[in-house]
Amino acid sequence: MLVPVLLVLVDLAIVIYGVQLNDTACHNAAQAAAAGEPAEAQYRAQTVLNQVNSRTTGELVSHFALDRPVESEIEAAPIPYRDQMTGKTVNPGGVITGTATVTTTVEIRPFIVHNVYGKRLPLKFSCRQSIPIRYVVPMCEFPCPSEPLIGSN
Amino acid sequence: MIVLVSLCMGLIVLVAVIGIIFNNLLFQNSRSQDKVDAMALSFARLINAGNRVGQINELEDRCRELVYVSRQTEIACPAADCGYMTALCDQLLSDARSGQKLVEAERQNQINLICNEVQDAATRYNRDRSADSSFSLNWLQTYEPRITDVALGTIKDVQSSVRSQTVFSELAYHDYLADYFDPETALYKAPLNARLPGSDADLSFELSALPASVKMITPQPRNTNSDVFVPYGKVVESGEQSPNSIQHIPNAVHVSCAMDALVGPHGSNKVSISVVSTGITSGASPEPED
Repeated sequence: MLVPVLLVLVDLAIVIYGVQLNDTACHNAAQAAAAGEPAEAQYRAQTVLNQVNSRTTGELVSHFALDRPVESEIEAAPIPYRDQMTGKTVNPGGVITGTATVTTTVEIRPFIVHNVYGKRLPLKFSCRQSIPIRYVVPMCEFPCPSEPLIGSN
Repeated sequence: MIVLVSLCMGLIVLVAVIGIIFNNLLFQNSRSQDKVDAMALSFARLINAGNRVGQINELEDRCRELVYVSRQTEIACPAADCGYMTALCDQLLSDARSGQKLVEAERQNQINLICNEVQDAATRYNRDRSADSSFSLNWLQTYEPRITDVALGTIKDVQSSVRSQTVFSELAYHDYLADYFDPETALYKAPLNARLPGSDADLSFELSALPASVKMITPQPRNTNSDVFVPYGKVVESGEQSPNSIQHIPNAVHVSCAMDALVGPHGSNKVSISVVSTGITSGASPEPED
């Protein structure tokens, strides 16, 4: 009688531990995604999760992954314009406002609790976090032909 | 024997359940901290939206120099055998002095705008947050953090975003003697009323603290240690908007929240856990000639 009860408690602890690890990983990935150029947010978030996966040993809590692509919702960003004097494209630089949203999943393999959930292993838990983007575009005074222009004829 | 085993089992289960409750409480607190950090960051970002604080600082500095130069010209006009231009010099000086009033009015306007925008964002969050429990077990329910206080202010030792120019050497020397700027960085200290010498000492030129750009790089908005926050005043107090009493343009925001938790069978004990965070706004955008 005591063994199943202990196993259930251990399983609960593993599930709670896994969910909390996933929450932390998701938060760190969202922080990384929000800290730089939005176009590279996916790459930074994935790098964080790769580091978490490389540190995770064993199969009880494993396979941290992005559930869907990082969603970078940009509300405002500096707009490049063509300098009439020099003919060059200038990005005035400034803060990008918006949010980066990251959804991560983790696989957890408990001992007996999964029997309650249709005997499916592994159990998958997801976490979703949004962080304000805090990237500041540097002022660019060099030709930037690939960027959209305003004020050009 | 059976009773003893049952007691042991009961004790183990009880300890485990208490451990899980406590762990979950800490976990929810940690999640609330993340949420309040993000909130402080988003509020802080509102302060220098579009580099408005940096622009006001630049305006104050340029206006100050204009009044100084106009005064010098007005003094030099009769002495330099240009007496016929005295009326023009007087008019230029008058225009420069009235320009200071426009800049000061805009500075006050920006203070009110910043306070209103932060108040609105805080009120909107409190209104829209879910009143239901974000985490619920029979013996533990936690709720989303609610904003109790929002203070605007600055971060200790942050100077203004404008530098003393050596173009006007006498003015720079006056500022140096008055300890208006840091000789190492040439950045004016803040908050500072950089009064001019002589007849224009009646005008105030309020410079606000804002991280300056360094080598064309604008400092990012970020969360920072609450210990270095210096408050100017509160815009939200006990969850309600409070009258604006702030005299300087802020560059940081300090958010205090309470995370309510109902602990025990049927939520018999209500506790509020305090969660605080401080955010600093983005720095001044670089000027093209920087």
